[in-house]
Amino acid sequence: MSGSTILRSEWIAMHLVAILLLAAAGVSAQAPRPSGTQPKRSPDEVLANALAEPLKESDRLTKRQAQRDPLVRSGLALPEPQLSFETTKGNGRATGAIGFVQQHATGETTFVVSMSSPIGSAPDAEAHPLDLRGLTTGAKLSIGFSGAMMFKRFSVSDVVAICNGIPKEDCTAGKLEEKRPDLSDRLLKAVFKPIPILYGATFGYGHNKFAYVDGTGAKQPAAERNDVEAEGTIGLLVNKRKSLLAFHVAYTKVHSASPDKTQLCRPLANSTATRCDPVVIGAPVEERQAVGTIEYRWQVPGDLKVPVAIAPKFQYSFGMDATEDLQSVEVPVYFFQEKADPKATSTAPKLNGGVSAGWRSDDGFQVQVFIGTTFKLFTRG
Amino acid sequence: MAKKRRRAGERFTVRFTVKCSTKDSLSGMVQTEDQDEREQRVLLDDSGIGEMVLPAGQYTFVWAVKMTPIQRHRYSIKAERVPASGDPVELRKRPNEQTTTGGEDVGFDDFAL
Repeated sequence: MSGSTILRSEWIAMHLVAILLLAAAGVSAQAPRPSGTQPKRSPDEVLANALAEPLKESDRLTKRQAQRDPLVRSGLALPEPQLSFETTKGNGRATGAIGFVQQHATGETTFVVSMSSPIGSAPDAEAHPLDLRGLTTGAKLSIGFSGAMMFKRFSVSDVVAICNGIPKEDCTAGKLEEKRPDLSDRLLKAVFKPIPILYGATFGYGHNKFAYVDGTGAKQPAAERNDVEAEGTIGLLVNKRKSLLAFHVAYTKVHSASPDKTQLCRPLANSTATRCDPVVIGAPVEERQAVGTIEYRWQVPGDLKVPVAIAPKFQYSFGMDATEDLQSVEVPVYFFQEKADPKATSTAPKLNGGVSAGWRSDDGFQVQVFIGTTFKLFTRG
Repeated sequence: MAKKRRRAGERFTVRFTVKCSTKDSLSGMVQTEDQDEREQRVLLDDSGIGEMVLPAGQYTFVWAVKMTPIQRHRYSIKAERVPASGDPVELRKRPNEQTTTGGEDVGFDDFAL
């Protein structure tokens, strides 16, 4: 792939992310504020974050391809930030997060800012993600928002008027569904938006410093690199709010130490002994990804004994760093059972799982069976 | 026992709670309207709880819930006044509600503060 093609692909990918981020921000900004709504802190609607677990292949190219593999991870879990003011420590990193929820007439939006950096294992270890020069080595700053617009503006008297002549105890959409489906539908239409919107975006910025030697073993000045991660999601609840149509774009530019490592031995001064130290040979490696995904989640209607759901997904990974564009389609079919009845004798979790068929432009068709993954139209924090 | 007298302008915390044992997730809201047609709205959190602060008066409230998975869910909803100390006082309880087969419901009721 030529350099200009690479640049064009990256340009397109970054603009896709920017457009989605702006669209989502606009959605949030345009949401009307309710008069007299009580401010309240609560976990937010929807949307879970899309970055998934890294795979552990040794080969870097294989790893990169695997990370772009839609069969490996879903890019469409909607962001699910925690409302909090908290610090956590684990896996060698300390994280501080501040989040708040802004309620508006039609839903709510959660904003989260978090910062993390490496920390020692000692009980009193401290982390310093920020100093006067900016982010410290290994530190990462993440800013995100997510939310949903589910409800219409309406007047209580409008809903009461629909129930004119019906006792209030009997006038609910659920109770009227079979006897008076028209009224049930009117109640739902008075309150719910016909196509609720779920949205979310995150932006991450990290700083790293890499020590390395060149091919002759000469120590080089430490290389400082900045990582960038941006993603955005918009989901529409369509088909009378029973299905989700979601769009997700993500762009990442991360750096990692060169995989070429060795023990470099040098003679000690005034001695015949040598000293060997682990060193990295070569400058850090940059990896870029830009992935766009469209997904549809649909549960087969009706009172089936074993509910069935399907979530077809198309993913396009833009070729970067001399890799080809990659397209893939995945069609997981979920067979899941209702939650165990808490009043039943046995409350053991029931089996959930399904079959997934997929196609990748580089590997062709794949079929796999999965167990334990449950279908969710959307998630909440 | 003499009933506690309410001061003019006193405001009360009212908590709305939706309980359902079959849901995976819940989105919901409650909107109140007092005798002067002043309205307030609160969104329920994932555990089905929302609170608002209201002055004394007669209220009608509309609730709406959407639950997943998409199926009919049985649930209860109650409104209670939460005093600064002591146990909550139940204002209204609807213990036998159900959603549509699409997992949604809208209804209304009233209470006095």
